Amino acid sequence: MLQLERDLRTAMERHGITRREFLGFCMGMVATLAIPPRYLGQVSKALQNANRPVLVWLEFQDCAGNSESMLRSSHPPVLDVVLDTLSWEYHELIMAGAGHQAEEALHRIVTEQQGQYLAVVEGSIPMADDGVYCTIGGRSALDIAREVCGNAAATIAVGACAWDGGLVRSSPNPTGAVGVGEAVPGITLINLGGCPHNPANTAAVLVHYLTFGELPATDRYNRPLFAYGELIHDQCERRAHFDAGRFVQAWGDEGHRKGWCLYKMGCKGPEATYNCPIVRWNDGTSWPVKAGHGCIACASPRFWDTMTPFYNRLPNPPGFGVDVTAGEIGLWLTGATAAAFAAHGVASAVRARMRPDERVVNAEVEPPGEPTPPATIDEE
Amino acid sequence: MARIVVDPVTRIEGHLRIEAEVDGGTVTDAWSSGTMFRGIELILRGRDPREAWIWAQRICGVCTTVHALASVRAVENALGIAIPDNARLVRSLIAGSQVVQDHVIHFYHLHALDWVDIANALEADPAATATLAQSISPWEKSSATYFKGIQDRVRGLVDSGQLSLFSSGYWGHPAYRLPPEANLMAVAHYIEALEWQRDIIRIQAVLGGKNPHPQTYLVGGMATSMDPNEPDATITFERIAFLRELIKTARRFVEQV
Repeated sequence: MLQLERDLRTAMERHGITRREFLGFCMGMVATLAIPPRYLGQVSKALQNANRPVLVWLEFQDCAGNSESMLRSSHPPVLDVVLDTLSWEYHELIMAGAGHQAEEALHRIVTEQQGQYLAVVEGSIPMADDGVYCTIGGRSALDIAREVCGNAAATIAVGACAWDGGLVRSSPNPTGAVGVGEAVPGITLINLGGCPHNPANTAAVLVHYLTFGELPATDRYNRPLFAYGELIHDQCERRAHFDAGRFVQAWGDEGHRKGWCLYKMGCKGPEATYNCPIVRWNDGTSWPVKAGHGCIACASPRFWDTMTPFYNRLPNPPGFGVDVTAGEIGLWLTGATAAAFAAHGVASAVRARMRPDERVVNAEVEPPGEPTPPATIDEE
Repeated sequence: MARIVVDPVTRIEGHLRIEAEVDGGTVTDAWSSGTMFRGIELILRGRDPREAWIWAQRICGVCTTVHALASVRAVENALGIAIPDNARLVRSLIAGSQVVQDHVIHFYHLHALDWVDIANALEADPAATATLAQSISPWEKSSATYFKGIQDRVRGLVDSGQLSLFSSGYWGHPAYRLPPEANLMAVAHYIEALEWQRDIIRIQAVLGGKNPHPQTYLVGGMATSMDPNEPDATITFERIAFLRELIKTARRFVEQV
């Protein structure tokens, strides 16, 4: 009888990955999640013992870009996530079955695994006209989300659309689209905004969940702090050029060729939070600013309405030409809830270590308002 | 006269419902419906044409980038703008990598499970599978040991009782015609292609910052700056060498697998 391949450690062994390399992978995860190194042992143990929890991936008003992004996961490789670490049993884009076989699989998980499976949601949920704008197997997206997310251990909303309605919700929102948190209030939810989500962050959330049995610490938008707690601007490799006043003035000019700051070309980095510049995309290959285009703040709340027109300059960039900290600039963006928590057990201790400093927790925060018309900024 | 409904049709982008009337084994009538609507056309109306491509790109994340390209070309055509040669080349590299990557994803990860019986691959003889694969191409991985490893992996999955993505399949159905060795070879290539698609598309990350939804088009050109003497330009000699390497590896897979 062959040994069962039930955990990531065994899976990696099959790929010829040594124990040392496995620990290296765990260490990378610890770093991404920003949890103290002393939990390394716990992470590696959880990944070796995980009894493959079931995951279902729901697509509603989506473009499948978040599914595709997940397929690009490299650490761990998507195959290990999908086949070895978890049992990925429902996902329209890539599952074997179709029609009523597919729907039966979903129904079986919801009833037999109630309260134990993970649900991932991609795409917004249309509320107008009784949900007629998205139906699957004859049921509305709202109906499915209520049942599947309502019975899940936790729901992970991937991409802007599932988080806050994204592009589909932007004006005039023809279908009454909203994110899953608004459509199904009260569920255990974590939002991984972005257009699309970065699979490195999603993998890190899954590892955290498998290790500690709960979701990582989040901000007021239920986004994990490890990924959405820092300004793009503060992590940007072009930041020195901003501080020194070296700006790209026209596409293809000397500054553009030299990798100067893209703020004047409309970059939204000064007002957007995300770990995009650090984690990067496609196995750490690049990210939009490195490739020469401004950030469009795709991980910011309602960015399709609040951050457009994308090529207009931010009207009031905070700290223009001055060195400022993420805490100062990011108050209105990241402001975490001041909810009290009791430190008990490992997971709580980890969460405590992940809280931003008290300054941010106690700050009076203003949510982002309506889009502001762009103002002219003096050329130097 | 029976009426068959398949909803959802899976392994496609979007949500599709097919209804068919079947009479004595023959389909006599059929209806297809897209069961999801977002209204992107309505949302895009009145917005800045310079950024229309960023919105249009979100029509599809599987065939990402192609709607961006169509949109930016539409604006350029309307305004009579001719783009520089270098921009045209960069666009061609992005579109070309998309065509190749998307074909392979479609062939293996979206389409193959309609004719590859994964459970049947367990009955294959790894040595015979190696002979079959070697008769088709000189691909270096086509050894009996390799196919045995793939078979063990599939067996481990089946024995675990948790079939993951394959749990709702139609394994053993007589409509599957391939012999066990062909099934095992296809399963091996399904797994290889999963790694391959992730690597080839780094071409779009180099030129567009990320994939899906690269962020690099401009009305009138591309945001990829180019300068052989500037290490921080988007396209440098080092990046060109990296692109060549990615293309070379991708091409070998397409030609031999």
